[in-house]
Order: sequence, then structure tokens, then C-alpha cells
Amino acid sequence: MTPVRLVRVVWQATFLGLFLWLLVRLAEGDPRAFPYAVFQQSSPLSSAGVAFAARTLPPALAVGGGVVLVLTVVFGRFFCGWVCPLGTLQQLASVVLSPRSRRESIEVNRWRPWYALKSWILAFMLAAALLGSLQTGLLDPLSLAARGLAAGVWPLLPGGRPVPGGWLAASLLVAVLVASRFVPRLFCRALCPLGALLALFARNALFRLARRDGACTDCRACRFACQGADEPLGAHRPGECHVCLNCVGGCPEGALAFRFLGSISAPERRPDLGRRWLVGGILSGLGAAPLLRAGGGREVASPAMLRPPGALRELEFLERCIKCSLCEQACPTGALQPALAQAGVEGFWTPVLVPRRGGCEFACTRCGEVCPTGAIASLTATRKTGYDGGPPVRIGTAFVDRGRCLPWAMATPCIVCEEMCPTDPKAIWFERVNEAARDGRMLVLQRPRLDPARCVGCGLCENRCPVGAEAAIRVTSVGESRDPLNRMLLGG
Amino acid sequence: MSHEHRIGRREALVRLSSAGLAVAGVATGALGFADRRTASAAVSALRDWRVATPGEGARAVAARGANPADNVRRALTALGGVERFVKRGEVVLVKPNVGWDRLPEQAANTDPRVVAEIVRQARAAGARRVVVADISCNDPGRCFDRSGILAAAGQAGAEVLDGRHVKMVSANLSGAAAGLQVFAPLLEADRVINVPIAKHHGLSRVTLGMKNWFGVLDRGRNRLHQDIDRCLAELGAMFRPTLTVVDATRVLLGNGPQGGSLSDVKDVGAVAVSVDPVLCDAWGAVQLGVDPSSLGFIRNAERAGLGRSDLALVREIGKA
Amino acid sequence: MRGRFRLWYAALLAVPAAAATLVMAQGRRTRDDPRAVLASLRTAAGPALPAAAAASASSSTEPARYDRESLYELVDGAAEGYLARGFERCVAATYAFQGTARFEVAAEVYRFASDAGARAQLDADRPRSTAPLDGALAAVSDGNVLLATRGRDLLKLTALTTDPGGREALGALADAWLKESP
Repeated sequence: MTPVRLVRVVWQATFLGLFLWLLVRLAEGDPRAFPYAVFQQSSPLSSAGVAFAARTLPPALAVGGGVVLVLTVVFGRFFCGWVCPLGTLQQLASVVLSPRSRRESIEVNRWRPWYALKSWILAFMLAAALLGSLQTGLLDPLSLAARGLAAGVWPLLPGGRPVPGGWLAASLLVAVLVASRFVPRLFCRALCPLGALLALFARNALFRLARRDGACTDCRACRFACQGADEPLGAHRPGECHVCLNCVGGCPEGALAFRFLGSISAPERRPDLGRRWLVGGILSGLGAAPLLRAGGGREVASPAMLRPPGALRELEFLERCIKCSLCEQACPTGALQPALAQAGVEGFWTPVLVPRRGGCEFACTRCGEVCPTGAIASLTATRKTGYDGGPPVRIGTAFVDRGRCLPWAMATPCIVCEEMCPTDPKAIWFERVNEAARDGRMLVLQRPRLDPARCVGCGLCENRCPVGAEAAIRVTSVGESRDPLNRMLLGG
Repeated sequence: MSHEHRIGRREALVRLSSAGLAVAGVATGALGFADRRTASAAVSALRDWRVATPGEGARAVAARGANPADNVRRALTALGGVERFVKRGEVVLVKPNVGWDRLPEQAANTDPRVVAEIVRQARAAGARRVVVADISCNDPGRCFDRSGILAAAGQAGAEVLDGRHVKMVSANLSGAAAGLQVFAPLLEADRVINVPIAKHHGLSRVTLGMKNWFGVLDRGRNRLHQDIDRCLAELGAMFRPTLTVVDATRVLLGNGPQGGSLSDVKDVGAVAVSVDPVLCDAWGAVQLGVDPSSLGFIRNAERAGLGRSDLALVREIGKA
Repeated sequence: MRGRFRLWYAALLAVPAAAATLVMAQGRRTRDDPRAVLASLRTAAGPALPAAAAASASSSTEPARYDRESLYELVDGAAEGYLARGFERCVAATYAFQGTARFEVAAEVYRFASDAGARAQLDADRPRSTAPLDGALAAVSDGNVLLATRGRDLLKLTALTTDPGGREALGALADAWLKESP
């Protein structure tokens, strides 16, 4: 292996290691303030998507995405070849799953016209984002990898929390990796919208492959181990080149080099996506966004859908959530789960709070701390709890189901809900009644009553209610701080 | 004309023996698995962790002062010294209340200084292992961290285990708690020191030592509230600790068992140590301004012979 | 040629090393700051007096709390002036010290709507002969009375008996109060 390829492998190993390590530390609830979302914030696709959808860009995304784009303009798609952890995982998968003769062959590594699909997907997604529907996270490699690991792999490890529907995200990740058995880095070549975005900027990169025509003997050895399927010989496509530099090392004549303002004599100048297809992609995206909403997904999303504390209003939330599932991993109780149908089609895989899985700890602000795009605003503990004197951040209101509640319906004392209520004074108070049991004994029962003005909707009551799978006290989103229209009480 | 082909002797032997082996294997499997009873999980027996106490000597000592660790030390000394309760080489479980995601000033969990001092005392007496464990109501990591107990007990040399790091095992619990599991450190311990904090509680009016046993249980403990006075006495009968240390450094007077606002907290600055859990709970109730004879679970426990609620038996040591 | 390449490779390898170091370095901070929560809890719980032991006093009475309606019970007619300066609520207790004889100090902490209100009250209340004390507090004292402000809170200490240890006791109380308030 040539020295530069060794350096590239060191880069890939370091960034993959960092990515995995940060995810593990986050899932373990590490109290240290590592930049857990740094990879997701460095994805120019997320930056572009959020900028188009929300018309604003959080500083971290602007810096992260901007730096990567600028470096791409200079060096080409080095991000794909040297940094992207999903790319490294795919390479590992192809090394493990397929024999060398298969993964290093001209036939497998030649460019195919339908690899332009990723550009179509990019056009579609960015057009949809323009109309406020951010779906880039579904195929963004950093989000995809984080999701697949969080929902598919962590639950399998000891101490792992189950994620309902996790098999979906895991299947996508596994499919991407298994695809590399057939065509190495197929996802990167054909599907990755981030790759397509970087390709746009890498087409006229300053550094690129240069070939000494005189030394080239047309042996085609350079095409054997090409990771980007960019045809280093002949119709070279700089936008597809992952800068893996396998061709440079593989050339027996040393005719290839990676050079500032380098050039190959006959580079491919046409964009990979034809004009018709491009227009079609854009129009599809523009049409898809309102179609996704035609079912009323945003306004009429399941009334039981609770969003994490600090989440923006639903429209703005959907304009920013990149479905990376970092919030779900950060949540210490496992309260945050990916929505499958509760949040509508647009909200697929966005986080919702499921009290039966876990309550929202009163002074915990982990989800907002880690959200890369600000879909969940970062709160301080004093603000969220209302200890600073202002009103606490509410995510909903609890309702007592008197037909199921033990003191109400079964003449049995309980009050676990009151015990678990974290507000001071508690949002659950008692009504003391004397009631005759079935055998005529007089009982003094404490019946829970809810004070909606104090309830923050944390769901700890629902989580601990002893009454079966459907608790006798349940939280719905009415009264949530983030939406002044989702109220039932006068005065908010 | 058909021509019958016969196999050789060797081939016949091979076929017959492999057939025989297959038949034997199937028969063994069938007989072996037929109508097997699955082995039931072993149920461990709870121990009685009390030490044999001589007749004379104080039954309970309460120490008051500005320094909680000093209070613990003086009370233990007045009770006969920690060596009377912890012998060299024993495994000691310290069971504080780490139920809630609160700061120490909010008086929802045992004061970390009290826990740390007990750990130090146990180690000084020569304990081989000192374990601090509890199954919290809120998220275990946050509870142990924000209560200050993870840091304080860890520094004092204890093995700190929160709910994520303990195994639950079946034990021979009886009464309302039958069928529930307890955490493994309880069964591994030679001595158990119960360290509750004195707090108000909406259902039982106060939560003290007997209520603190909830923390060794996990799933299903949220049903015990349905007959709380009976269940607390039953728990007190099943779990007989070596010592009970009631932390009244700060007590929670209202909005219990979690509190929240500092105006629910009162600085009392006292710690009581006793071999008698009922006496401890009675003393704790008085620190909260509640008459012990009005508490159902204390009457039940006294009637069951678990201890006395006569406060005259508590020897009070004033300030240092 | 070789030397230049080595430089290139070193520079290239430095990038992931720098990235990893930067990420690790941020781990020196922790995500939570319990002190911020505690400070806001203390502020929300209203003005506070230190425990007797913290001020080296032998005992103290239970703190009594007064709000805008009940302030006159504590200060009679002067309440008008307090209310005009933005008084919100206060807490009062009496500390007992064991010096050459037993002597007592009456302590009150008044909370106002603004820092300016607290300072205005201090100016209005101070006896003519008080002199500023050095120390961390903006305090004035004449040996029998000590006044100090901290943010929106005004501390007022009055020695109820004359005792040589009085001045020290006032200072000790004031210091204890300083330590406890955020």
C-alpha cells in the first residue's frame, strides 16, 4: 500500500472510531460535554436541507457544512473517501463479504448511467425542502448510520433498550452494507444525496487526478480498485471520484497523480443527470411536499403525539429534524422513540415521547443539548423546570382515566402517580372520600385529581401507573408550551 | 432378466451401524426430553442481618450537630462502636435512599455526607466489601449523580451500584410482596445498613426506614401502595437490618417524597442510629412534626414485635 | 523530494489527530451545572438566613416569614417606606450567642424588587454613626446595628444586648449569610 493510501486508511479509521465512540458515549449517558453531534453538523446535505426548509441556519451547521463544502471545492470528494463513517463501513463490508477478485474488477467498478439516481434524489429532496418538508435525513449517511446503530445494534447489546420499529432502520443500514458485497460502495455511488451534493462542488475541484499521457499504456489497472467508479482512464468524472487514490498507487507506470489544477486529457463534462430528469426530480419534490401533507399530517397528527421538551412548533420542527436519532439515544429513560405513523408520513422517524416507555426526567435537557439542527432547542435545567421563576416547559397534560384508576373505580388505595409527580407543588392532588367497599367496610380513599395549570406532561405518572398496558393516567399533547393553539385552558 | 446387485459385507456393516446410531440418537433424545419439567429458578432465602445485642446498652442514639459525618460517628460510638456491628472481612450493603433526581439541598435523597461516613466506618471496621445500591424511581444515572452519592460513596471506597448495574433475583418474600424480586447485593451481604432520609409522603404521611425497603424491589413494587400500612410492616418484618441510620440532616416537610422547592426543606441537623427499626421510624416522624402513634404502619410494626416506638428509649446527644 | 513528501504526510496525519484531540478536549467540561439549578432554587425560595451553627451561634428561633401584607407586624409604621421601595418579602429570626454572658442578635433579610430598592432602604435605615466595614459585603455597622445588601436582599442585624462580643457576632452572622446566598 502506498504511503498516501495508508494515510487515508488512518483518516478513515480515526473518523469511524470517533463516530462510533461518540455514539456509544452518548448512549451510555456520559456526563461529559463531548460534541456528540459533530458529524451530523458537518454534513453539507443537512445544512442545505435545513437552510432551504427553515430559511435559517444554526451556526454549527453553517460552519460544519460550509467548511466541508469549501474543502470539497478545493480537494474534491475527499469527505467520501477519507472521512465518511458510512463509507468506511461499506468498504469494510465489501472487504469482509466479497473476495478481492470480485470487488477489485473493472466490470464491477465501471461507471453506470443509473448512478445519476443520487442526483435525482438530491434534486427531489432539496425541492421538497424548499416547500418545508425536510426528508434529507432519510438518506443522509451520517443520520442513516447513527439511526441504524441506535435502533438496530444498541438494543442487541447488554443493557440495551428496545426500540419499536428499530428493525426498519437497522434493515436499511444492513441493506446498504450488504449491497457493498455486490458493488462496493453502491450506496455512495448510486443513492447518497450527500455524495451527489459534494459531486456538484467537486466537478471543478482544484485538486484532481492528472495523467501523463505519454506514460500511460492503457493497461486499465487504474480502474480495478476505483472506489468512486469514476473511470480514471478516459472519460474521467471528477464529481464521482472519492479521492481514494487507489488508481494512483495501482498504476504500474506511475502515470497518475493527484495534483493542483491537474487534468486528465478527456474528462467527462456533461452532468450525470440529464436536464429532463433534473426537472422531473425537482417537480416531483415540489409536488411531493404538499402531497405528504394532504392527509393533514401536521395539524391532525395523533393527539397522543408528544414531542421532546424544547421542540419547536410542529411546522418548524419538521423543517429541521434530520431523523438522526441522537436525541433518542441521549434520552436517559428511553422516553424518546422514533415515530412510525404517529407523526404522519412527513414525520416518519422523528422523535416522539412515549410515556409508557419512559418519563421525561424533570431537570433533564439532554435531547436539546445534542440536537444538531436545533429542531429541539437546547434548554437549561433552570428554564425547563421553571426554577428560574418563569413557567416550566410543558410537553402536554395528563388526564386521569377514572374508569381504570384504582381509587376511582376499584375502591383500592394507590397514588403512585402523585408520588412520581416531580413538580412542586405537585400537579396531582387528592380528594379524600369515604367510600363503602363491596363488603360494606368503609374505606378512606385518596383519589387523584389533576391540576392542569401545574402539569408539565412529563409522563412519569403514566410510566409508573400499576394499571396494565393502558395506564389509568395518560398524557396527551394539549397544553404543550411550543404551540399556543394546542391549549384547552384559558390563559394557556 | 433382472440382475440383483448385492452390496459387500463392509458396506452392509457401515449402513447397519449408521442406521443403528441414528435410531439410538433419536430414541435417546425422545426419552431424554419426554415430559421434562423445566427447572424452576432457584429462590434464595433472605437472611437476618441483625447482630446479637447484649441486653444493656443504648437501643438508639440520636446525635445533633452541624457536621453530619460527625453526627454519624458520635452516634455510632455511643451505640457501642461500629465494630460491634461490622466484623472484619464481612460484606456490607449500605442501602441509602437514592430514589430521586434531585440535588442534596432538596432533601429527597439521603445526604451524601452521611452515606460516605457510614462507608468509611464500615471500611475502618475491616469490611471486605462495602456496596452502596438502590433501585431509583427516576433515571438511575441521574439520581446517583445529582444526589452526590455516587461521588461521595465512591470516594469513601464503596462499590456504588445503581439500578442499571444490579441483577434482580428471586427471593422468598412473603405477604403482599410475594413473587417480587430483590437486587442481588442484598443476598450477597453479611450486614445491611438501612439509611433512609426523613421525608413527608402523600400516602403514608412519612417515608422512613420501612418505606426505604422499596428500593431493594423493582417491578411490582408500585402495587404495594394499595395497602401501605400493612405492606410497610411486612417489609419491616422480612428485611431485618443490622442497623438503621435515619438521616435528619435536612428533612422534607412537604410535597414529598420528591420535594423540589427549598421551602419544603428544613435543616434539622440530626442523625439517629439504632438496631430497632420501629424506634428509628418513630424518631424520624417526630423530626417531621408527626406523632408516631398516629401512623398506621408504626402501630402495625410494633404489634408485630418488630420494635418499640417509645421515644424515651432514644438517647439524644446534643451538639459537639 | 522525499523530505517534502514526509512533510506532506505528517501534515495529513496531523488532521485526524487534531480532530480527535479537539473532540476529547471538549470532554473536560460536564454537561450539567448543578450550581445554576441550586442558585435559582435558592432565589425562588426567598430570602434566607443562615443556620445558627454556621454563624457560630448557639441557637436561633424558627425563622418567621412576612410578605407585603404582614410586614407591618414586624416593622409597624416603617412598612410604608419599605413597600414604597419595592419590598417583596422577608424572613426574620433571633440568634443567641454564648459570650461572656448570653446575648442575642435579631436578624432580618428583606427582599426588594430591585437592587436599587435594597440600597435605598439601607440608606434610609442606617443610624448616623455607622461606618463601612471592609470585607466582601457592602456593609455598614456601628457596633450594635449592621446593614448590608447583596443584590436585591438587605440584611439587618441588631444586637439586642450590649456585649463586648457583639461586634464580632454581627460580623460572624454577616459572613455566614454571605456564604450561603448565591
